[in-house]
Amino acid sequence: MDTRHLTDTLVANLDPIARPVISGYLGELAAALPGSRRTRDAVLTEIADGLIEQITNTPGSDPAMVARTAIHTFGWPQVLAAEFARELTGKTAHRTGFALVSSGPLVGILWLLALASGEPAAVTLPEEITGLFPALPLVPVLLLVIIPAALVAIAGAGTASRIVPVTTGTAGFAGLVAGTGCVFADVTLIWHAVLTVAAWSPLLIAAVMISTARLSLAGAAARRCALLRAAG
Amino acid sequence: MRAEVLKGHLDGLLLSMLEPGPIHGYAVIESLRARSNGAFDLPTGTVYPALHRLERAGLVRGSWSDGPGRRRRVYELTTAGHSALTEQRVSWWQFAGAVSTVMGGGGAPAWTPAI
Repeated sequence: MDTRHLTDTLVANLDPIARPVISGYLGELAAALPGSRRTRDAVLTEIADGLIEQITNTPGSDPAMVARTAIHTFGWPQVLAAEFARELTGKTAHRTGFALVSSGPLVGILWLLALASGEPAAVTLPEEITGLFPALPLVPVLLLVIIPAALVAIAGAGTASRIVPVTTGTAGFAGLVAGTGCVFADVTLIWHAVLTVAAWSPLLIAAVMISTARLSLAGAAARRCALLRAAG
Repeated sequence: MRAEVLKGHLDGLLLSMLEPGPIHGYAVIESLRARSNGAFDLPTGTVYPALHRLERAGLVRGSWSDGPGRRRRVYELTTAGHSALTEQRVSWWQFAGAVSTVMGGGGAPAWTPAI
């Protein structure tokens, strides 16, 4: 359902004269609110419900005037959108950071096993890990950026936000850095595999597929963090 | 009462409105207005983002309920929200008592609601 259709549906039970006033307000709110459509629709549905309640409780015989009085109490749609964007930035950063921190070790181990599977059996795991550093010098550096950034992003919402004093803007920036760093790390690993591994094992194919999926999700999450942070 | 006077106390007031049970956003505003005898007539637009801020912090939980004719977002206190409300109440009584003492109001407020 597109935004126009949604706003029309939300105000369908209002007086026909009040309908375009409220629909127009919701349309402006939607236009100023970045993020996923599901999130935007949820905000619009909630605000429409509040506006309808406000109209019901506002005295007056002119429906258009009553509708305008109701939207006046909600303030400028751009200001309201900015306030919601700040909250959504914190939540999006939290999800991004949490997803990266929880998936990171699994993806890392998968890559280590995949790249080490071509080594001679006499080579121990620590030797395999240290042996990968010269071949992939960018990855440890990226990890030094991604891990702290992801932890800061987690503090954008939930229990961590009550303990660590991080603003939603900082959490959003951390989510952007962590997501972008993850994209670079996954591209580096995939590129290394393409250039150096001749015979791909099933483990390496799985690692490349998982990293491909993760880099697209991390890229999208980083973009959402950036857009919401800019709007908040 | 002007909205800026409530700055710093809004979260505690909203949490206390949710203490009796789950309610939707507009009911929070109405409840606040009614319980303050009209003194706290907040701009509606400030309350919804504030509820989302409390939800982001894990102090309230939002869920959708399908009422007659339309969907509504209903909020309720979490366990952390109950604890935060208790803390904010204690903090407020200490603050109000100190202000009353300094301003010659006769010490702490006469009433002491149960925690």
